[in-house]
Amino acid sequence: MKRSHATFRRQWSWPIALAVLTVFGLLSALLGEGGIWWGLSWTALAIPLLVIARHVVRPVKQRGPRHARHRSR
Amino acid sequence: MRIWSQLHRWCSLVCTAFLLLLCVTGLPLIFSGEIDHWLDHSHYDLPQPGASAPSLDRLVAIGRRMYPGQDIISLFADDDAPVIHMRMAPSLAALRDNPASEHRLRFDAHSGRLLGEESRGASHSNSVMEFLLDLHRRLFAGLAGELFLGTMGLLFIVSIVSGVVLYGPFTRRLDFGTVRSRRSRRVRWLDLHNLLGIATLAWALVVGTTGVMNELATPLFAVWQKTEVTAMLAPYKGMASLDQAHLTSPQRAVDQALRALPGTKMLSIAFPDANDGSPWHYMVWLRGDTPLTARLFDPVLIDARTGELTAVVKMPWYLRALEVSRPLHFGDYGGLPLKVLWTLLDLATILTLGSGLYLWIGKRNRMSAHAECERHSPPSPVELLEPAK
Repeated sequence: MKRSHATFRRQWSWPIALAVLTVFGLLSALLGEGGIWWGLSWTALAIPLLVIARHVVRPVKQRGPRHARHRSR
Repeated sequence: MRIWSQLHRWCSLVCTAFLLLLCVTGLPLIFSGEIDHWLDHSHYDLPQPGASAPSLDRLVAIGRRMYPGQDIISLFADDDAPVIHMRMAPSLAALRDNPASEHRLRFDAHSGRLLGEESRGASHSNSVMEFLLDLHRRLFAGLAGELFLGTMGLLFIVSIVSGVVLYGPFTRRLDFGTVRSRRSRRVRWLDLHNLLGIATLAWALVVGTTGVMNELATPLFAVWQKTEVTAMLAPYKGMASLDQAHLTSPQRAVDQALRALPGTKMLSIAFPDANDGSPWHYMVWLRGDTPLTARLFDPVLIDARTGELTAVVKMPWYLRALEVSRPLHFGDYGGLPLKVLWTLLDLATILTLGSGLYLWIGKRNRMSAHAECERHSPPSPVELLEPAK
C-alpha cells in the first residue's frame, strides 16, 4: 500500500503540479485584469513549456540520482 | 485498460486530421488582432486627453447630410479597430427587398472623423483572417460545420482523458519526463508523446472544451435571440416603423442604456425597424468592459420617441457561463506574452498529435508484420507499445 502510494507520487506529482500551474495561469490573467496577475500568468504558463524543453534538450537518465532531487523540490 | 487503449486510439485517429487543421489555422488567428492592425493602412486619430468620445448624434448628422432622405439601419463599434460603422440604406423597405442596397460609413471612434465608405460585400483588408476564421470555426460549412467541429472537439476531449488514463501504466517505471534517447526512435517518440501530452494536458483540455463551447455558443445564442428577444418585441409586432425624422437622440438612448447596466460599453445601436428589431425602439446592445465580461451581450430597448428605458433583457445563466468562458479559447486577454505562450502550447499540441499519428502508423506496420509471422497469437496493442522496461 505504502509502495503504491510512493509510485503514485513519483508518477503524478509533476503532472498534477503542471496542471494546477496551467489552470492558475489561465485564470489569473482573465480574472486579474493586468498588473501583477499578467506576470504571474506568463510565469505559470511558461513553466510546463520549460519543463518540456528541459527534458527534451537534456534527457534525464532513467533512475538516476536526479530522482531524489526532483522529489525534494 | 484495453478498452481505454482502444478508446484513445480510435477517438484520436478520427479527430487528429481535423485537430491538426484547427491547430494550424489557429496559429495565425492567435495574432489576428496584430495582423489586422498590420494589414489595415487606415490612419486613426489618437484619443485626446480629457476629450470624450464623439457623440453619435454628430455621426448621424454627417450621414444624413451626405445621404439626405436615406435611412440609418444601425451604428456599431468595430471589434479590433477604433472605428464606428454606420449602416445605411436608401430606405428600410429597400433594404428588405434588396440587402445589397446597404452601404456603410466608417468613422474614427476617437475624433468622429469620416474615414471612408464601403458598399456591402466590399472586400476588407482582413479578408485573409476572415477566411481562416471561417475555416477554423466551421470548415466553410455553416452550422453543420460548426456542429461537426464541435463533435471533433468532443472526441479530442475523450482522447485526452483516455490518454491520461493510459499515461499511468505506460510510465509506471519511469521518472517523470524521461525521454529514452538511446532506445529505438519509436520509444523516443512514445516518451515524447507522453511528456508533451501530460505537460500540456490542462491547456489542451481547457482550449478543447472552450472550443466546443464556442461552437455551441453561436447556435444557442441564435436560439435565445429568436425566442427571448422576439418575445420581448412581440407587443410591437405588425406596427409600422417610426419615421426617422421623428426620432429622439441616439446618443441619449445609448447613455440611458449604459446607466441601466453599469460596467458595460456600447456594442451597437439598431434604429427602429419593423422587419428586424422593434418598430418603435432603439435596440442598444451592450457588452461588458472587462476581458471576462467582454462577450456578455445584453440588449436594452429604448423608446425612440421619448428616450425612456423600456426593457433590459439579460442572457440566461447557461449562455452567460458559455460567454464568460470563451476568452479562455483565444488567449487574447493577457498581452502579447500570453499570445506567444499560446503559440508554443499550440505547437506542442501539434507535436503531440503528430507523434501519436506516427506511433499508430508504426504500430500498424509492426502489427501486420507480426500477423504474417504468427497468425494465431496477435500481440496485444499495449504490449506492442513497449511500456518501460
